[in-house]
Amino acid sequence: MRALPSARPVPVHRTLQGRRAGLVSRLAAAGIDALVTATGVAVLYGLVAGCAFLVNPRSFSWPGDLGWSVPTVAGVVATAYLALSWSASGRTVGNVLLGLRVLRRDGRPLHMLRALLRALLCLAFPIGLLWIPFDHSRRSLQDLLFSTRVSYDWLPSNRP
Amino acid sequence: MPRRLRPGALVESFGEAVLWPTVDGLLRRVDLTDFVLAHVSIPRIVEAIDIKAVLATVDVSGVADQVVRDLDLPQIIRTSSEALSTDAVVGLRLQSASADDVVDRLVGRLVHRRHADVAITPRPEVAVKPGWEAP
Repeated sequence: MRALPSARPVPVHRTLQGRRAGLVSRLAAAGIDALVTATGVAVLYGLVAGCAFLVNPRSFSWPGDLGWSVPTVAGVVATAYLALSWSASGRTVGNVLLGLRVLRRDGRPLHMLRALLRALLCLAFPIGLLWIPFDHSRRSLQDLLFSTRVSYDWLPSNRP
Repeated sequence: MPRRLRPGALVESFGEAVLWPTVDGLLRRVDLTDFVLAHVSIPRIVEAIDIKAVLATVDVSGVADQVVRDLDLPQIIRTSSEALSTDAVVGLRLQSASADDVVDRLVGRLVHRRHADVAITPRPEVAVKPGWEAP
């Protein structure tokens, strides 16, 4: 009797789509987002210094003691970046690279307010990510509080 | 005079019926390549050719431009770099997904978790076939 051809295994990248992302992927995405934010802040300070130089070149000097302005500006930039990215497409640059997407638990996209609050909590309490491997659905504390989920999602056919 | 008896038609008939079959048969018996190699001095011919004069008649830069235009090098470079970056990014995603599972298993052992809702990712070397399409 002729043997039936064996079914072709589904590629692993397809089986991953829609599954909750774990700690390593999310930490890596967060690290990339931190780099993006740092670059944005550096560009912002460079622009401000450039404008100051153009206005008064003779008395221009690089700002020495920036004090609390750097963490404050970085916090504002990071909050705006995360909230806008999550509410617009569910993905930051780090999420895009790691193939992740942030959605509400029911699969709908985040609204601006929820994204903003989630961004603030992620910045204020990043250690909440460490809850992911302890949760049966890979949720961080931020996900638990705001009813969100982060899934592997990098194939076009999987997008809502 | 009938048309087939005219001189031109006679020569043509002779060529078709006798001459060309004879020449063709001779050429089949003689290996022309061996003949040329044995009797013709190729270095002398090459020496006799004025390469510079030949090249002067050719628009080399025009030919090069045409070749580059036909090849569409920017598109080739774009395609190859996109393929490289896509492979690298997909590799990164699969590796991080595997690392996620490793962390989950470690923590699961620590807290004696029996099973999780999150299915464990199959090993890439088992499930991924060569040639699977990139996103």
